[in-house]
Amino acid sequence: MHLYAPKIQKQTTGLPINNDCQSLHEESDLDMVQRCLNGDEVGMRGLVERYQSIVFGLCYRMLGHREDAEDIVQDVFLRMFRSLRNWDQSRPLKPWLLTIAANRCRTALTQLSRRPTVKDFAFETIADTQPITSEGVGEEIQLALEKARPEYRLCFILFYQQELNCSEIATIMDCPEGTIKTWLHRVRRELADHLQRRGIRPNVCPELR
Amino acid sequence: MSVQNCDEFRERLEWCIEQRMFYEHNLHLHAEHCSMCVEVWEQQQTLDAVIQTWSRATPEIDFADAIVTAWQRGSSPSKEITRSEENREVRHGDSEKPAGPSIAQVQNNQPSPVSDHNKSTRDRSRPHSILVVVCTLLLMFAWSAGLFGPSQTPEQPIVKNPDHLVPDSKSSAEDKRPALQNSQAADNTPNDQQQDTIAIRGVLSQTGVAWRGLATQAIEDIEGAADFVPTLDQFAVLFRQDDPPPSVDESTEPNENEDEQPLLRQHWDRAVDRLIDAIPFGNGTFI
Repeated sequence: MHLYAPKIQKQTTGLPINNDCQSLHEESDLDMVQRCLNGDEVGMRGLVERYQSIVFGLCYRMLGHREDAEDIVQDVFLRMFRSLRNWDQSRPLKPWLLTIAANRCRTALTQLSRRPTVKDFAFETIADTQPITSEGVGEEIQLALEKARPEYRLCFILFYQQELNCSEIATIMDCPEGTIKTWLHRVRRELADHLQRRGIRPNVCPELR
Repeated sequence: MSVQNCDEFRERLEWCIEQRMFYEHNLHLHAEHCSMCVEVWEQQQTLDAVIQTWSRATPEIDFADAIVTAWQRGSSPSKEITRSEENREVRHGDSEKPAGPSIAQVQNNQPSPVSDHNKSTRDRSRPHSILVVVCTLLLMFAWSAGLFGPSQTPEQPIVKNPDHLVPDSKSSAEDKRPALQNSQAADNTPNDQQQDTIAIRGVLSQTGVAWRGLATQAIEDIEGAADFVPTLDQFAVLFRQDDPPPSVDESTEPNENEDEQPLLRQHWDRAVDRLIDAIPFGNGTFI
């Protein structure tokens, strides 16, 4: 029995689904890629719609900033289109795409770290002075994640948000599975300590019950 | 029912986390009865609940139009960002667009997979680079055509007598004078310029001789002053450890070297004065 049920892919466009789009959603990744390679705009659009939420979720959680994440997402898909001929069709598309996204996020984090920012100070000041609200509970995790090492952060996001297993994460991050388990354990420990310091417990926050 | 120890509890807990399994009943039982593990158990329960709240809070987006448009244009995608609400109104018209170029065609148009950001930055910096190159070429042309005048390239005096050789530190101060005088003589006739040059060389030669003499005397004075510096053996005699430390009254008494100190200071002051005298001022004169 699984603790975290897999997410259901939602139709985010809000448009009526015609037969073409319906068949597009049923197409395999390989067929979509072939359509993209043939210059089919509908195929490209379908591929973006299929994976944009996944890629954006990773970038948004990694960077902690929506606009930065949006830039990275578009860059990731453009790079994917450029490199689509090099994709090994015997392997699934999603880990390959997430690898591109993870690499782009790490590059962006390196660039962002060189920029001076007052975000940390301001956020910590607010966090330390204001009581925890129901909306703030999720932000506490994000705050603690931004303090963690980038590889811990990526590992945590891939595991809990992308719902990949340790073997898949090891493939994406190009490191042994045992290392992933160690990183996962350490980041959980850091986050648990952070929550404890902030006094977050299920009996304190009713929304966690 | 098997009873777990603390190590087994933690290993099993990690396994359940990694495999995304519900926590077993044994884990729950152990945590209830173990004061050491109950804190870990509660922390994991809290963390699981917070993670579920955290993972639900991702905003929804729709980049399909922006990305496809950016791909077709081959431009920077950052300025093409449209939110999902805006895209819903535009998407109906997009289906009527002609099919874009194939990936192979676009790859041919983009020889190197550089990022669009780098490409736009390169395009912006191109006019600046061209401007810098043009300005550099103009400056080089003006320099070679002599538009800056002869004062920029002063003629260096040729010293043939080795006695007149002066140290390099002097040359920087002396360079100003011939440059100034050359600029003043620029309007004179060639004969006047030649005479001025000969006169300047004579002055420079005399200056070098004078400076060398002053420097030599200063060195001799320094060497004389250095003779008064006691050696290590003399220091050992002066500050023998078996001697009792001087009392307050003794420290105020005159030293045994009192007679020598004025001579030492005299030599030292004279050496410093001579060195100061040897330094030429900006107008080329000495003190």
